[in-house]
Amino acid sequence: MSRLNSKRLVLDASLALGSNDLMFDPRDDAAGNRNRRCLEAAWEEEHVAVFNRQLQREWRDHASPSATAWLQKMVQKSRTVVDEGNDFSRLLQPACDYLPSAGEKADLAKDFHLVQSALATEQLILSNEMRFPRHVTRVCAAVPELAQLYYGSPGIEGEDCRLWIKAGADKEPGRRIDNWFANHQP
Amino acid sequence: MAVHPSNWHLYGPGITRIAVTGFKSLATKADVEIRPLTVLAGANSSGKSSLMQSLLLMKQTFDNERIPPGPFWLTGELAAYTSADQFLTIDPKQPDAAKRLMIELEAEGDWVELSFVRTSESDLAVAGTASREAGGERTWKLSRDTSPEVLQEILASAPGRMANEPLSRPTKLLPGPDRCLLGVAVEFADAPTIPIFHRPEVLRLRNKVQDILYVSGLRGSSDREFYLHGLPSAGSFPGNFEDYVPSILEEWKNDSTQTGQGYVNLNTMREALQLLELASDIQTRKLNESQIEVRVTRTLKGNSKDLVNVADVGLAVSQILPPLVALTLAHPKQLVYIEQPELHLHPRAQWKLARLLAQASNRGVRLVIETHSSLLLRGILTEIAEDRIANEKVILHWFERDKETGLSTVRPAEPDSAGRVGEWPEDFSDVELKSDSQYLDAVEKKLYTEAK
Repeated sequence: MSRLNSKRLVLDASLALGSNDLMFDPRDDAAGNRNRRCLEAAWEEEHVAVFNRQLQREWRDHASPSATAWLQKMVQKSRTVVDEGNDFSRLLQPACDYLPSAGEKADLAKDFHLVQSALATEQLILSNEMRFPRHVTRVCAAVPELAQLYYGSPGIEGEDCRLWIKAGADKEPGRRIDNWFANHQP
Repeated sequence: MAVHPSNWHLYGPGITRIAVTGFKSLATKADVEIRPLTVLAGANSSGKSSLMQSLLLMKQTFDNERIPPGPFWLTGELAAYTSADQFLTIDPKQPDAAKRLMIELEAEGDWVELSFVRTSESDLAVAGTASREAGGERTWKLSRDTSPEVLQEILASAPGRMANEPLSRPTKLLPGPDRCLLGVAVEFADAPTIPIFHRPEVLRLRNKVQDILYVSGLRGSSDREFYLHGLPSAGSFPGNFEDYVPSILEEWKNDSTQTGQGYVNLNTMREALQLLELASDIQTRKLNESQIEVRVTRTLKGNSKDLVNVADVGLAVSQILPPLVALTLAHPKQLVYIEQPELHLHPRAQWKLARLLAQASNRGVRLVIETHSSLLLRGILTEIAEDRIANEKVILHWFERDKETGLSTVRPAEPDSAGRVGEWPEDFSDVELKSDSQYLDAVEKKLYTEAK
């Protein structure tokens, strides 16, 4: 059993891709360093990583060696769960219908598996994608369930994602996806 | 000596549980389930070896033909003490109190408990032997004050007793120590010897202990020549198993007909060495009537003409030979205890070794390994996840030692069918992640400093 205050987190493959190793010069990869530290924080606080089939495939395809080592240890400790969140697939169509362009619809559809798994668990998503929170924030008006999502982005300097994970990844108002995007939009 | 598989059923049930109380840091009962593949892990000096050392002390005592002065032969090849006080747990709060040692063994239903006591006035002595036969309801308790009626009942059930002997002559029955067991001693008025009898389950478990194949973590360096040993006809090897390895290989070679088990075993050895990427062939050559050499191919693709003495190749070959021979030789249900099977192996070979352990366990061998290798552990869990060994056949025991009291605790973990072990306190992963992290942080710090 994990700690009492541990959470189930959906960790987008962008964290695994950017979780730096020495094959990258760390001077050019400060964001990668923050990704790695966030994964370590999730390990230290005994949080659980939520996967679905697509997310698992993306991790396998893109994870850096250190992220792969992290995942192996998480799996061995039974700190991963699989939840496809199929009950929430019904939200994809109304969400896409609300977005005006085909490109935006495709973007949201591509990452909607993260939304499904997060809604089915503890509504917590970590990702370095900026388009994703933008699209989700926009469609919250039409699909209010999506406003229940909480977001963290380790790659952004000063975003303090690691501290949030270390403190228990609680649902702080500032991390609700619409509020988060309002504070971090480029 | 190479036992044909058709005779394996003769060896009876294997050990399924060991519980030890009062041995070194095992102050409270360390109760350990033994499955076909049992992994003991934990920090240094956490008590992993202590559990099995108590059994090795028993084996050493049973192996020795001479009668020990107390319950155990303290000094030998498997365990070396000069006084029982060196292994009896000391209660720091009552250092002068009587010290008690209890060893419980279970083999598929048969159960035996041996108890010993050491007081300030007396040396370590057998205090009692309790047992229960598989399927039986009665627990037989034999102590120094067991009544003559119970002694008579135990005697009546003991194998090896001449059917009418105790009845036809005047006798006196007493509880009698027999090395580390307490049995029924039969004093005949007209005979100088006093035979001692035991319940059948006690004898079966005694045989199980004697049959243990022990491959020590302190394996000798590779010699050029080895003395030939006579080999026992059954599976019990007195003393250090490693000493028999070249002779076993020689016997397998001499049994190399198409149908001979020795030929099959040698082939198994070759396949194992190939899997570990250490050699493609292994052979022995008799140098004279008392000495042989072990030769292996220098390369993975080497043929049988490309053989060199085992002392002339990497240390990994000579270090892995005793574990591989034990895995190949052991009959189903025989307990094979290997300390650090991964010694001197390249990480790839450590990982692949898991396949060989799984194969032996699937053959029915009861394998207990003590390891510090996270790669070997991961290999075993991978074997489960890839369905090469059922998760029910594997159990992991993590030993921890309290920093203040120095006493050990054991926590088991049963892998699920996906090879996951949950929140088992294994700390290999923590150490690896922290060392990775510290290295990356240090490199980054240095590079940033240089860039400024």
